[in-house]
Amino acid sequence: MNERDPDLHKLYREHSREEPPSALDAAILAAAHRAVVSGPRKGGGEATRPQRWWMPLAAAAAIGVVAIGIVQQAPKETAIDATSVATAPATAPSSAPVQQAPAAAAESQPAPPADVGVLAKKQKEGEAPASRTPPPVANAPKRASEEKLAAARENKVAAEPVPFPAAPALQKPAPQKTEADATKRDAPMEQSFAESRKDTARDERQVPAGAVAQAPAAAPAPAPAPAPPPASVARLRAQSDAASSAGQSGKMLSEQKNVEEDMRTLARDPDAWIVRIRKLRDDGNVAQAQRELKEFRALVPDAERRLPPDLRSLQP
Amino acid sequence: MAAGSADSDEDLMLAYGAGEAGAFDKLYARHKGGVYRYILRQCRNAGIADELFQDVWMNAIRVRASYAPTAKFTTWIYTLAHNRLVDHWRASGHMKVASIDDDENGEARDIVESIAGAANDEPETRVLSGELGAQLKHALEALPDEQRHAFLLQYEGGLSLGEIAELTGVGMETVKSRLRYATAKLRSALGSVRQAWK
Repeated sequence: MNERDPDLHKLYREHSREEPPSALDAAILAAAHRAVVSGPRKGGGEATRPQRWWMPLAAAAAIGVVAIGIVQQAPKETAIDATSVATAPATAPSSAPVQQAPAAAAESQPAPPADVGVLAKKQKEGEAPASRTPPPVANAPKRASEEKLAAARENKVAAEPVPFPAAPALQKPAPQKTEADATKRDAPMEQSFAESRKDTARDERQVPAGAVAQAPAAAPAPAPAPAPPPASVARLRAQSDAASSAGQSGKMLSEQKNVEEDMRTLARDPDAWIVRIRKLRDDGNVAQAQRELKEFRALVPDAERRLPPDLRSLQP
Repeated sequence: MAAGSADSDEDLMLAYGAGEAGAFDKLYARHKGGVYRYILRQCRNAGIADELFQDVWMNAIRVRASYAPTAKFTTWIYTLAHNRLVDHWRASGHMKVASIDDDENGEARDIVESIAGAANDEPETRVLSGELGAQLKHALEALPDEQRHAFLLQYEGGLSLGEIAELTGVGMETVKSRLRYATAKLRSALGSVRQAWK
């Protein structure tokens, strides 16, 4: 049937002459010329290619924004964690810097060890609340909560957010109370310490047993003071003795106060203290061992039960 | 058609794809009438035909760079037109109902032939020349879609049986059958007028 009917073909050609409108011709030809002038195109799929190209870029930008947001959030969280971690062993590290700083000073500058130690302690006392316990962290929420309460009284609480979610954990009253109690106990001792060190020891003995026992009880359980190196404590002791024998000034008084604090810190770990006393005795420093044994008996409530027989017989 | 010559349709299309705007002018001048009538005879509405015709050529312009002369340009451009018509029919809900070729007992064919024959009942009342064109269009419109489609591809596009079969997606025998039926009906419809016109 490939052959056409010639008559039908001729008839069809003669009577089928419709053409597209000239306007349509012009529009199509103009579009064809515009397409060539505007530049070669690589096929029909090219129109959507730029959109495909932008999609991964947009996705990468979105991921980047999210990552930056996470990175910006991360330091805040770690800072909060750091403060909470630092707050937990509030009382434990209090003795370490006190004991190590003078030791280092004494080793580096052996000529005036007492003065250097005094200066170092004075500096530390100047920032005592900050160095021993982290009161800024612990007190900040407390202060904020007080301000919040005041604002609540003035009906201005609405816009103020809670500073930290872990604020109750940070506001551990026990260490602060211990510090405050220690300061209270130290106040009368400072007044009377100028007389003699024996008087001070007597004052401490006159402190009610409950109050003495309260110190280790009030201290948080997971923060026992690590047994200090005997050499540094002995050095401290020597400094305190030197200060007391010289009948010195308020500097010495504050230094002696710190020594007494160290003794109380040692009293929280009687076993370590016993080991240290025994070591003093074995090293031939019997006088020092006897002095510490005396303070051990004064500060540790059940001292006699804890003391081993060989040390019980070590009388001053 | 200019196929096979130095200025063939395929060469012109390749030249246009390479950026030679004048090649498209020649190509368009050669094929605009056939493509337009092919669309017009199928959709039977000049406005719609204009729109579809423009779409076909704009599509050809858009994909000019990807054109590959694996087939005749005529086959390619009529394929574009055919696909656009199918899209139009789908969008407008006008799809073919059934092929008369698929009619087993021939009842539908008898009905169609009787309708076509009825148009020849009053030949003496027609003005011959004008009437012949109108009668031809009327007879074409009365053809089943598949037969009209095959007829137009052959008479307007100059496609061979194989090209029509490939374009429409049917076998060559089917295309033959459709063309045979279409020609017979048109002859029958135009018979008396043709005698008078000759």
